[in-house]
Amino acid sequence: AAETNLRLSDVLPEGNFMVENARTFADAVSEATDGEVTITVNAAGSLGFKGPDQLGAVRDGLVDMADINISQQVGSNPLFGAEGVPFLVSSMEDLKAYHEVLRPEFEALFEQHNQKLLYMVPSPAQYVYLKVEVDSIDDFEGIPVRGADKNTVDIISSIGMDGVVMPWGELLPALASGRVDGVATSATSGVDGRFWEFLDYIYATNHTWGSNAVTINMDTWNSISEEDRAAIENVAAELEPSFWEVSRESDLQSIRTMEAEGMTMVPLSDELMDEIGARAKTVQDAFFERVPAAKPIADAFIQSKTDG
Amino acid sequence: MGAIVSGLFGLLFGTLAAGAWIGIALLSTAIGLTFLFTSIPIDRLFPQYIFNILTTPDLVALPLFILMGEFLFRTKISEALFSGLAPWAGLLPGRLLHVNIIGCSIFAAISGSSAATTQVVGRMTLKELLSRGYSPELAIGSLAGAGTLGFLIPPSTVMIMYGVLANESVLRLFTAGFLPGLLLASTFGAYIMIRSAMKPSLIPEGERALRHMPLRARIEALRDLAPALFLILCVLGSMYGGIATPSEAAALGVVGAFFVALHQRCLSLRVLRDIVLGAVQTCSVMGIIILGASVLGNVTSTLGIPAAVANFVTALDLSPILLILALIGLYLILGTALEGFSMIATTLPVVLPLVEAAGFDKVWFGIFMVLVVEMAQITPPVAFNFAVIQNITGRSTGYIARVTFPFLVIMILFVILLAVFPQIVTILPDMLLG
Amino acid sequence: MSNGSIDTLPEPRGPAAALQRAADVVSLFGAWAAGLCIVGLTLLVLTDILLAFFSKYLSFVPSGTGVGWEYSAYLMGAAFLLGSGMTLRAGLQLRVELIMSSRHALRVRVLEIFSATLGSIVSGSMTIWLLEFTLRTHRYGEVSQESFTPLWIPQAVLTLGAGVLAFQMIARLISAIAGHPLNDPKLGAASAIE
Ligand code: NA
Ligand code: NA
Repeated sequence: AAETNLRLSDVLPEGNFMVENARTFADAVSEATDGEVTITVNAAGSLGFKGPDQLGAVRDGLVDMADINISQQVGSNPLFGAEGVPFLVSSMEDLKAYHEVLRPEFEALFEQHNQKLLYMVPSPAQYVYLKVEVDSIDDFEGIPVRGADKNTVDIISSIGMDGVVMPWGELLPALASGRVDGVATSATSGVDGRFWEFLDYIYATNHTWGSNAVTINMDTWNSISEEDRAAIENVAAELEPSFWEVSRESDLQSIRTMEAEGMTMVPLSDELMDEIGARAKTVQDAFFERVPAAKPIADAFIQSKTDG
Repeated sequence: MGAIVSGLFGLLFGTLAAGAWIGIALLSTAIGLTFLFTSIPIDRLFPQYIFNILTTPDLVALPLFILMGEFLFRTKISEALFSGLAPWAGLLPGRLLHVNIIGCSIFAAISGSSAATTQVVGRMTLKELLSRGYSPELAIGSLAGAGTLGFLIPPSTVMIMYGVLANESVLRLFTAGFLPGLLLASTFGAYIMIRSAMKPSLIPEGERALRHMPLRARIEALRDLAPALFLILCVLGSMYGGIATPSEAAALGVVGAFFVALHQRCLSLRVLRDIVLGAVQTCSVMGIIILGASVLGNVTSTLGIPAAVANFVTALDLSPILLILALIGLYLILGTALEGFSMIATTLPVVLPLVEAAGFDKVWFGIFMVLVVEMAQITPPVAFNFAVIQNITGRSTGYIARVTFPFLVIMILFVILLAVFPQIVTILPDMLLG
Repeated sequence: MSNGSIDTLPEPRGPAAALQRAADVVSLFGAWAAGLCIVGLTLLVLTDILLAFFSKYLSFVPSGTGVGWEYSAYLMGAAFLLGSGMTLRAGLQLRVELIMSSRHALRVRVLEIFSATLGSIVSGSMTIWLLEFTLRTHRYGEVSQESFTPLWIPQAVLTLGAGVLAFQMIARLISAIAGHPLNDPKLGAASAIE
């Protein structure tokens, strides 16, 4: 059979664990198909696509494959934000259970956009990083905190902080000068930004979850031999659990790094978490109002949790 | 790969040599390469690229700095700066010839662009210097050389661009630019002193009087520096004081320039119209070149050219210092034909990993890139700063290139110095930012 | 580069000149729209700075518009393209000048026709591609992830900007074929030398 070389677009920088997962996947595919299908991973958005247009790029055949941040695709269909429901999921185990009901929905959504979902990997847990120590809900009041997207900013603001949107490139100077006094993001991003230079306390709020999906253009997929397709699906299914472990490990490792640099992880009491959850309820309600299709999926997940 | 690389250079240099506008040449090269060597649907790929590049939030500081430059350019702020500096520069050997260097250093701390710095300072100094009888050779040469400080002394649009592409902190780059900027300015100043000591006829006889000015007159002249200092305060103060992010600070610079112009009563409807349309023109010139350069960068990545060239240079296995020398040569050649932003955008993915592997720091390389981009501003035929000076003086590109040459040589030696002593770049950010 | 003698030549007449005049009017409108975009983005950024500043002291003031970065980027893109037709006509778009400043009038004219042809093809294609892109985005109902703004709106403005450039390029091509003067330095902002 003819050799197929596929380009995979990733907006995350070289060295990020998602990029390394994609490379591991590429190597495994090449081996499983005897070199008939090879994948070139292009990191750091070097193919010219930004996060929110990765879905369209695969759909239109501008690139064969992409490592897609699912929640960034809400502009195409709000249901892509289903993992962003505030405080619905509290741990990676929880997320795994949520995916049981969510995955078929995502698969169908991607298929509508002319692509096939190969595997999904969650981003590590979410934290809020601040300059000050907080022990009651009122302490959050008015602290300017940067969030990456509208959903995060809405959640931060509902808790009482001043959610601010700004590009990553502006964030570090803004932290240095005091234009913002906190950030809501993952631990790996915290290490990338050397947050210990500006911030002191880490709060494991886990306000939202989100995953990346690696997808392939459907026409490209159908042009691959049946045997190779089966091999690729096998590789994806086999590797996915280990990719989840990589994500969990990079989270733990990043927290260790930040603690070694002098930051302090502040435990949040159950009462405080409950108060935060209660305040964020408005954002949750607004979400289900905007995306009614997400409600039955979330309910099925909550049902499965109480059953289990 | 050979066919792709020759396609790249053939199309780019062919269209440029045939007189195509730089942005159009870059775009048509990108379209041609995609058509010839891929099966990607061009009609869907390019609009996505165009939309992404033209609406990148990281570039927003650029139009703001351009607008601020237009205010400075069309009001009396610049004249006041000259009259404030003249009594002090007159104390040095070389006298007022230092006005270009000092003026450029100060405007460089306000504006993010090198062409804007050259434009503003050149407009206020050149006429005055030549009418006083200074050597045009040194007057024009020092302007062309010192104008390039616009990128090296923060704020700097090149550093913002590099920070975005290299994923490096803009704050760190800004901090790193200070020391090399001041050092380069001093080196230019030293050169002027040496030249005018060797050949006193370069300085007019009458200028000795500047040495015998009463101290009170000198101190009173400082008042004229107030508007420029006010603008520095607007931009740097708001940035370091936590009021604005680096991009936002440019907007406060615009406000500052507006109020100074208002105070100096030099704003008419006619002037405001020229300021806005002038900003539109400069934005459009820069915007289309950035668009073409970025699209071509995306396409070369898609075709795997950077990876191939990186492999080639890696195979050469140069020692760190030879690598830097090779890169200086490469960028001098590219810089004759390419604009600085496109040079960064197209070569960074290839070169950055090599340089990092050779043990150089990403911030250090950012300053290196700023300097080679500055050199590209003063190497013909594509030389932004020459176009500016040509506009002011009416001299030919050849003449300007000749009188600028010594300053270009100084810059090349300066880059080599930085390669030997990288601490000059890294000491300040390491000390201040850890 | 210098067109100092143009002022003394009689105004060109005929269909080519009429097309050029129409392109100039459109380009000038585009330039003013671009100017409004630049002023608008400056005001938007200032609003965000002021809100952030006052929200630190007054709890009822929001910490920002929430759309500042996104919309100022759209305004920037619009300004880059909308002003390009006028900038081209004013003779300010950069090119390698070595050959264009040649004394051989015929060679210069041939190269002008070539570069205007290439420019027309590139900017014309850009306009068509952007138009189809905008219509596709509209059909899919895609919105921005930051503020749920329909993306076809900023895309339509960019399409308009590319259209202005394409119109000026085509007019330039026809003027070049007709042998009319191509650059009009009087258009736009007064230069430094005045
Ligand atoms: Na500067
Ligand atoms: Na050059």
